[in-house]
Order: sequence, then structure tokens, then C-alpha cells
Amino acid sequence: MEHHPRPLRRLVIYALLALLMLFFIGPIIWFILLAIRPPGTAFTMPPVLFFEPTADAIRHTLVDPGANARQARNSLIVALGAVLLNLPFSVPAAYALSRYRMKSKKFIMLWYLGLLMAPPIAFLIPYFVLMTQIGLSGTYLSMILVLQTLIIPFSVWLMKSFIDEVPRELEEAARVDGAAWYVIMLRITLPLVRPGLIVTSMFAFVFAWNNAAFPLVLSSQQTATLPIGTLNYFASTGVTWSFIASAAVVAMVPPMLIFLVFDRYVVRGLTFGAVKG
Amino acid sequence: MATLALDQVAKSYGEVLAIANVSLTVDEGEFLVLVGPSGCGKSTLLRMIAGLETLSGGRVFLGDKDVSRVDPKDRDIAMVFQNYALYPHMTVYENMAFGLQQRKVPKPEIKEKVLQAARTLDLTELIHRKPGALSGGQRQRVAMGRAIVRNPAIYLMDEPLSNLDAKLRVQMRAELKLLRARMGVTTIYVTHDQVEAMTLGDRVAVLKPIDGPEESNLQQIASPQELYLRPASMFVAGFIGSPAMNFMYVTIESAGDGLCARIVDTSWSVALPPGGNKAVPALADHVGKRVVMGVRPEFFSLAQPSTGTTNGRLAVDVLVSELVGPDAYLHFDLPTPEVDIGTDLIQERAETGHTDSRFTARLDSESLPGDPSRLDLDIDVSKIHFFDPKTTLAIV
Repeated sequence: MEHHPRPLRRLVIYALLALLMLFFIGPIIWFILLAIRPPGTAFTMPPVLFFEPTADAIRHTLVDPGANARQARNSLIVALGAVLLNLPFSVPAAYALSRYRMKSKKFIMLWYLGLLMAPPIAFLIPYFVLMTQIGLSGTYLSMILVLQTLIIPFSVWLMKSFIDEVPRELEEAARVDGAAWYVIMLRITLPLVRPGLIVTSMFAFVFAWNNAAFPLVLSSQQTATLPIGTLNYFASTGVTWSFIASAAVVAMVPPMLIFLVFDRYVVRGLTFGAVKG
Repeated sequence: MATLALDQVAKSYGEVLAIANVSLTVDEGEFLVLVGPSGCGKSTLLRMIAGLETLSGGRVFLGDKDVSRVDPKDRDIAMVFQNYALYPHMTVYENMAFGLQQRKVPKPEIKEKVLQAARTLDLTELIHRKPGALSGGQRQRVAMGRAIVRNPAIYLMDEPLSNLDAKLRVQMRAELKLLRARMGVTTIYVTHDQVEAMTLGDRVAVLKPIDGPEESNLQQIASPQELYLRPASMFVAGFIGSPAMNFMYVTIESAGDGLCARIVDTSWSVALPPGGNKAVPALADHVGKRVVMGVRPEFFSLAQPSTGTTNGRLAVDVLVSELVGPDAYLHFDLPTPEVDIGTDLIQERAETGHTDSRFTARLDSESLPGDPSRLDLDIDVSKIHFFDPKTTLAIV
């Protein structure tokens, strides 16, 4: 359907869109500016609009002394670990929920949803106690494991919708063609839900990367992730805004890069099944 | 190459009984068509033969081997699905090669077989395309190719032509017939299209939905000609033939050394002399009773004033006439209670006062007078069928 709004209307639409964009991008730009401002100009009134940019804070974060470099690496380990542990569990679960007739299917799906709805903060203490007792407290594994409690339910929902779209007949055709179940999985079903695997992994990565609540109680000094590093600047010595902003900007980069690279899969993922192809 | 046998197979989904008491055998090289209205269980039956549905009862034999609990991959069957079920991420070549790869056929042999099948099906130039870049007819041929390369014991085809447009369907039907003549492999073919059933099948099995565990889906299994000429039940008679057979209630009466059938609530009757109709001896038991008479539209003819016999001549008011090329379909009414064959039960609507029954005659369009509003029709007495209204079975 072709639709050409008149020039004035178009102008209004663009103005509204620009406003909306400012709403979303504004804080990001503000944080980036905060990271490269000379210290002391952060909250001055009237605001200092023009200044000599400085890379001091960024340097402090990443290189000298690299206050947050280790935390960035930790975040990467936890996020990648969470992604890798997620798929072997959520994909078979989603497959079973998509393909097999079972009475409790609705209940299981709602239960998963319920897990997503519960505030993670409610589980912090029990998880901390649990991980301490089994001696995992402060390890990467503890964070990776506990993150699964939210990542797996979410992934099952997402993957199920992708698997639902793969016609059953394809698997049946492969069965008749003589393929064993694992061949069908590896050569028919999984290749067809590849966009789903990518989208699910992206969301899992970003969720784990951004999560602050679990590392807050489960990480140690050595395994602290980037969000914890950012929080650490709210210290007794005062709040160093430029360091916070700098660490936050560094933390923003990987999710942004991921969405930039895999953008087309996300769009496809969100509209998957909307149009029969 | 093998024979297939079904022994009392049954399938139920929870409380719902879909298939019961179906037993049949398919000979080596035979082309059996399963036909019936939707919900008759024909696709389910095919999927049970494939092993894609478990049996709730009975057994399936391939050759001498009981395969009732054998996985589809170990049954040596190939199946063509209604929506083709081509692997969308693989090329035409890979689609056809997949089954051979699973059976560990050496690579050069796979290549040879796939290319040969591609030649047979005129797919050579499309071999590196993916299904998404093919037309419906081409996809259909790839689906056939995928089955052919495997050289299976039995082909199973689930309405393979139903997704094609009418013209292509006729063309593919002819190609299928050629292919089948060349390959000569045992095939079980499911369709709801009786023209496909009649033109393709060596034998045709007519199925219907069932109401209880004592019934069988299988109504009749016979050659197409046999089904047409000697339908075993009202269901088969009504299902095979287009336009459908006309049914009306008649009362059987004695008339001299023969019988006569009078259409209920009318003064019209047709004499059934001994030897005039194959059902006459059996009908003798029904004298004084009401039975169902079935007349195919094509066995009406325009009455010729010159002919001496006027037995069975029927004066009708034509409500609608449709000219279809050489044929003319004339729709008319008779003031007699309607016979509804429904899916299986006969319901007599006479008690509701509904007498608006419709009948069809199929005549040579060239022989029609200019204004075909009131016509005299003759019935070919030898081609009339009679059915028991209770059992719905043919009286012969």
C-alpha cells in the first residue's frame, strides 16, 4: 500500500519522530558527553555546553589503570557463558513444548512466564545462601547458573514460537527419508530456526551483560562484572560521575554492536510468522 | 517391491475413534487409491502405513514383515506430502539426495540417481535452486523426485496434486500415470478427488467417517469400473460419479412375472421385468416394502416419441439447465420425500413435509429442444440401483 503524506504532515511526523528519538537517545548522548567532559562541569548551572573534550575518564576505565577492564572481561565471560549454557536447555524444552501433545503444556508455559514476572531481587538472598553453601559463591559459574533462571524461560518462549513455524511435515518427510531424530534436529529443524537461535542468543547475551542484581550478591572482587564496577563509583570518597559515565559507555558498546550486526535477524524474529511466506 | 497388508487397523485419539476395522491388501506393483470425503480417515490411514501415526489396534505388514511398531525410517517407504514438505534450506539436488545420504549410499551413486531422476522429471536445470524459487508444479515434481530416487518398496502419496491449479493438475495427473506405468511400483495414493481416483487407481478404496467401533471406514475396495457399475452401498454410489447419483424412495410391487418400482407419493412407476435389472431376483424379498432407488444422471435420456416402450418415462419440470459443453445438466423436482445420504445414515425428511427434493439428469446438449422447461425422460432400467434403506447396502 503506497502512502504519501502531504509535505506539512510529513514535517510534523518527522518532528514528532525526532522528539521521540531524543527521548531514547538523549540519555545516551548525555552519558557520552559526561564521560568526555572535564571533571567539575557535570552538573554546573547553567550547563556548560562547549568544552574541551578529554579522554581521561575513558583512559582510566580501560587502560590506565584500567579500573574496569577486568570487569568488562568478566562481563563477557558471564554473558557468553550464559548464552552457551542456555541453548542446550531451552531449545529441547521449546521443541518439546512445540511438538508434543501434553496436558500440562499451558501450565508449563505460564509457569515460565511467571518466573519472568517475579522480581529477581526476591531471589537474591536465597541464591546467595545457596551458592555460598555449595561453595560456588564468587565464581563465574554461580552467576551463569542463576542467570539461567530468567534466561531459559524467556528463551523457551522465544524459541517455541520459532519452532512452531517449522512445518511438522518437514520432520516427517525426513523421518520417512530415513533420518534419525538427531539428524532431523541437526540438519532440518535447527538450520530452519537459525534466526531464532541468533535472536535468542542475542537477548540472552544482552540480558546477562546488563544484569546487575545477581553479580551484586554472587560475584567477588575478582569476578565482578561491569555493572558492579559502575556501581562501585558511588563510593564513600564521593561520586565520580565521569568514571561512572565512562564505564557505562563502555558497557553500552557490545550490546549496540550486536544489535547493529544482527539487526536483520531481530526484525525477522519480531515479525516471524506474521506473514505466511 | 512388496505387498502391503492392513489387518484390522484402528486409530483413536483419546475418546475419538478415527479408524476402525480396516483390512485390505495391496498387490505388488498395484496402484491403490484411498478416496473419501474429508474426515474419512484416508490421510490418517496413509500416515499409519508410513509409521507417522501409531496404531491403536491391528497390524501393518510390508511383505511378510509386521512393521506395526517399526519406525518410519526403517520401513523402506517414500512419501509425497500434500504440501510437498521440501526442505526449504536445501537445493533441489540436496532435497533429493537427503534420503539416499541417510541410507549411506555412496556419493557417486547418489549423484547418478539424483541426476537420473531429475532427467526423468525434467528438473535438470533447476537442480541448484532452492524450493522457494520454484513454481508449484516444479515443487511437486521435486517431491516426486525425492521419492523416486529412493527406489522404495512402496510409494505413499497424500493428495499430491491438490495444491496445483486445475490445468496443472490435469497435466500432472497424466504425467503421474506415465511415470507409474514406467516405474510400476506399489503405490498408495490418497485423494478426495474422485476423478483422480478413477483415472489413476488400479483399485480404489472408498472410505467414510465412522460413528462407532463396530463400523469400518472401508466401504468398498474395487476397480474404478466396478465401483461405478456395482457400488456396494449408498455411500459409494453417492460418492462415485459426477454429478452424483439421484436417490429416491420407491415401493416395490409385484407386476405380472416381474416387479415394479413406484416412486413414493407419485403415480410414476417403472416396470422391472425378470432379467431387466440385475437386482430383480433380490428385490423379490422386498415386495411391499420401501427401498431406495438410485439412478445416475447419465442414465436418463430424452424420450424419443418414436420408440414403442414408454416404461419408466418421466415427465419433469426442469428448474435449471446447465450447459457444460457436450453435456447438459438438467435439475428437476419430484414430489417425493427426500433421501439424504449424509455421511452414512439415511434420514427421511418426509415427516417434516419437505418434498423439495432435487434430481439431476445428464443429457446430450445437442439433443435438447430449444426450450427445455418440460421434458419427457426415459430411464435405462438395466442401470438402476437399489439399496436397503436400513443397512444402506446395495440390493443385488
